[in-house]
Amino acid sequence: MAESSPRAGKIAATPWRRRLDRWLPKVSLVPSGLASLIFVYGFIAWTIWLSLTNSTLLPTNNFAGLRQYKVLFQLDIWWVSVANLAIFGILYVAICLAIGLFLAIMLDQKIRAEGWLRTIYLYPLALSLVVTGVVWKWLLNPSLGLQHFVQSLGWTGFSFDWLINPHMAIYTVVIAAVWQASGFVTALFLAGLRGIDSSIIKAAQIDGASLPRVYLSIIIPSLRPVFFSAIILLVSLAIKSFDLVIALTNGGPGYSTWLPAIFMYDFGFNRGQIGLGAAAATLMMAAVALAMLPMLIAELKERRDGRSH
Amino acid sequence: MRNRSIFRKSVTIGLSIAAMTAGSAAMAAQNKGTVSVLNWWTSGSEAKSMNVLQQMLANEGYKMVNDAVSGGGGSNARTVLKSRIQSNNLPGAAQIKGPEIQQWCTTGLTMNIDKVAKSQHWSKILPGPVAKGMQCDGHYVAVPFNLHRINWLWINKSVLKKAGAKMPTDWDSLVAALEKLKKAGITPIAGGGDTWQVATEFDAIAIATGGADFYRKAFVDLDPDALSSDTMAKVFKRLRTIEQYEDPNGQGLSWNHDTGLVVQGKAGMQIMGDWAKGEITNDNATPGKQIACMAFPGEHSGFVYNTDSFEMFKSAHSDKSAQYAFARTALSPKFQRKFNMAKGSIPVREGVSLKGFDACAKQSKKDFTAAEKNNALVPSFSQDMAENGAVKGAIFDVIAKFYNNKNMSPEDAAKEMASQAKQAKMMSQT
Repeated sequence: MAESSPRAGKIAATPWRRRLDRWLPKVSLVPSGLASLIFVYGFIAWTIWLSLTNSTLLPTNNFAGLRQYKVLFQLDIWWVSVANLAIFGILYVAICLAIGLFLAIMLDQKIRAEGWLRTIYLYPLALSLVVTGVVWKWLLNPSLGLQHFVQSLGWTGFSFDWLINPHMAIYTVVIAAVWQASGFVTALFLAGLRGIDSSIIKAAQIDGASLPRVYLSIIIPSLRPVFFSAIILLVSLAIKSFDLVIALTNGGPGYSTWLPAIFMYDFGFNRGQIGLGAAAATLMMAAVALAMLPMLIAELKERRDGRSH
Repeated sequence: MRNRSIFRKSVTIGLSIAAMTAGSAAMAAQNKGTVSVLNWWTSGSEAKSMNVLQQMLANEGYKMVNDAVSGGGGSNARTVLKSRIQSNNLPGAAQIKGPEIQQWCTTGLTMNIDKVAKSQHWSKILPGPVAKGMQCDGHYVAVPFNLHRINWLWINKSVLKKAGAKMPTDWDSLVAALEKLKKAGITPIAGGGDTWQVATEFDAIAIATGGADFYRKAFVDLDPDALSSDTMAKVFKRLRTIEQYEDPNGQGLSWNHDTGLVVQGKAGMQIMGDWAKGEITNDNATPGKQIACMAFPGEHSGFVYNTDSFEMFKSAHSDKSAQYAFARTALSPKFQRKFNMAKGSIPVREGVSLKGFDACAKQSKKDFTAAEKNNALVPSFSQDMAENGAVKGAIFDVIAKFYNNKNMSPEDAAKEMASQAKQAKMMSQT
């Protein structure tokens, strides 16, 4: 301070301002940083801790080791939930990507009424998952929806009763979820396609590459970052899935469409087994981390390598 | 300037409104006391009944704050209760039922209401098992509101007649009647296949097949021998029979939709607790007339009951005197009559006239008195009356698995029920 005082006057305002400019973004980030520290990482830590206690109706701090996990692994209903998540997650991500990419490529052919079509494809995303679930619940109900309709048209042998079939009900969840999200993935891919430099494509065409060849060797590989963000979004949506199942099948028939999120909620809040619910939540988080980590590493590595070249 | 004066004006108005409300709060505080009541009765007759209770307390000079939380069949309200306990903002009374009442006692937060119980002679006017359920270590901590019966069979009389079937009197005649309904092209039993509904059916079959002693041993004591017994396998077998007479396409539809099907004559029967009466009346039919009510038939008779109750907590925001008044008024003959007539249940206490109640309620009371005498009064496991949430959930899981898996044998289901219940019991006792 003593040093700066002789050089007062017109310069004095500038360092102060510069300092403010430097600190303001950091200062303004502090509240949200603190909030996420407490409400995200703090609660993650608390959940992990609860999964190691014998908490039942209310959280307690009595350490119980890995007992909750042991019990969890013995429960049939937990493994049903995990298997369902695997079926649902894989099909959901794969079908959404396939439909999304296909629709985006079709939309990218400079067609008429593209704006209209884009809006139509994107609209399902605007609906709440609960609405989607209820609508599909009625559509798929054998005596009220699709099966009834087709039979009333004359095809009396037509049968589509997945919703009430314990072995097939999880696939109805896939249908509804894909319907909801594929338009969104289409929009992502379309944006990606529009970002590709058209001169590369023209050069390839001059070299004599056919259209499918151009797509397979040039366009789709250059959509890699879009695939990356779409998969990250879809996987996290799949693991979090809860409301759609509750609205569509309510976990039924029986518990044949339970997912880990439903397991966590029911055991933690309805059945008064907070420790067990916390163990399920911890494993869900570990699953998200495991699914994301290799992709994150690969993507970061790619970026670093790309820069060094 | 202008803006500022408007601002000032609105602040003044705001302050004066605040002062007025504070004034009225002060006036309320001059009343004898406040009790906040956490519950999940947010719709229809139940919500109206809470308003009646509120009014009755207001007439005595107490203020009842009705904290109703909707959704999830009470699970949302329970979550609110937990978070309020964590934040030290306990309600004066909270809707809690069954063994959960005793679970909450272990937190040391519950309030003793022996004083009210003594003055109203609860030990005399309440049925033995119900009175016991309201206590922890011999002290009353909760007040019961009603007495529902679970093991009812609702039958559309004209549909039964059209199909040429007779009113069932035992299991075999029930199956015969169901067969006739099926041949006539009517869904014999309306049942949504939702686990809670299936468990309610299981409840009725269990008491009719095994009797009260078996029921108590299995679902109250969790005796592994009773749970894995041949009798339990027989109950599962009968559930399979019932399942085969239900419409598979009805999967996932709610119980009240199913009651509607019976009233409209699209289905013949339904196994459901007596809250179905509200739905029957809504569809302009009279329980006991167009829609007959009978105890679910079998070798044994009994009364599977469900009681809604409110547990009292030591709350900084409620006054003891108001909490006492809440408990006392809830069990007053006047409220018991009004509330239970609206809810479809019967008064939980003695000394309340049943004049004006429907035929099914009168039948319920008659059967109840007989069951109490024969020690055939049992708490319903499907309605959270016999076990805590963990054990109930485990039993539900096995029932759901069996109901939806035709390859599972009744014997295996009974064995699995015994092992799952044991494990859940162990986990919930820490």
